[in-house]
Amino acid sequence: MSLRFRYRHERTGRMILSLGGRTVRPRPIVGVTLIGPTGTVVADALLDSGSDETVFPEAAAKSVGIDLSSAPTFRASSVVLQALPLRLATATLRLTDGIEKREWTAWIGLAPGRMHLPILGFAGCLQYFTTTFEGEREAVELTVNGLYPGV
Amino acid sequence: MSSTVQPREIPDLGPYAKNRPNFPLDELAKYAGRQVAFNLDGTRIVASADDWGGLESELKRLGIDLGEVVFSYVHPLEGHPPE
Repeated sequence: MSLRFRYRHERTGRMILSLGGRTVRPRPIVGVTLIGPTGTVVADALLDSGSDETVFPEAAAKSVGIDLSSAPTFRASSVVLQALPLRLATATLRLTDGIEKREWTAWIGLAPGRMHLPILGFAGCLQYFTTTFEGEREAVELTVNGLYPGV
Repeated sequence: MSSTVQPREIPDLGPYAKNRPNFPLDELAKYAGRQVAFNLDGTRIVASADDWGGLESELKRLGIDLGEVVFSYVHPLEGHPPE
C-alpha cells in the first residue's frame, strides 16, 4: 500500500503567469514525525527530489534529544540548500497519510541557523520509496521499495 | 528539553493529514513569512514567530507542549522579499 498526500496550497498575493494566472502555489509538503532518544517533534516538511539529504534544523534535533556533540560534519547540496554544512545523526522518521503509516530509522542532516521547513530528500527518505509526483492531480504518492528499512 | 513528549507518546497525525490541506487559505495568508504551530488536528494555528527557535520560546510562554503541535512555515507573499 502507498502513502498519498495532496499538495498544500498557499496564496501568493499575485497571479502566477507560469501557472496560467493562478494565485496559489501547490507544494508537496507533508507532516513528518521526528523521533529522537528523549522526545518527538512533528513538522511539515518538503518532499524534495532535488535534495541529496534529508535535513532538519538543529533546533529540532536538540528538542528530541539527539546528541550533536560528536556528530560528523559534511556538506550536502540541493537546489535549496546549496552546499550547506550539515551535521549527521540517526533518528527515526514517521509518515502517515491518515490511512497508512511508515516508520524507519535513517541518517539525517542537521542544519545550523534558520531553516523554515525540514527537507525530505534522497538519503534518509526518498531512497526508500518509489515516489510519484502527480502534477495534474497535485498529489504525491510514496510506495516503499526494496531498500525500505522500516516497519 | 523538558517540554517534549517521550517517544512512546508519538502523536497520531492522521487527523492532521486529513484536515491540514483544507485549512482556509485566507487565514493562512495572515501568517505569510512566519514560522507557525498548528494544533494536531490541523484546524488551528496556535502560535507563530519569526523562526523555529522563536516559535519554541513562544510555545513555552503559552504553556503548550511541543508534542501537541505541528511546526510549519507559511511562505511570504510573492513580490515581497523574504526577511
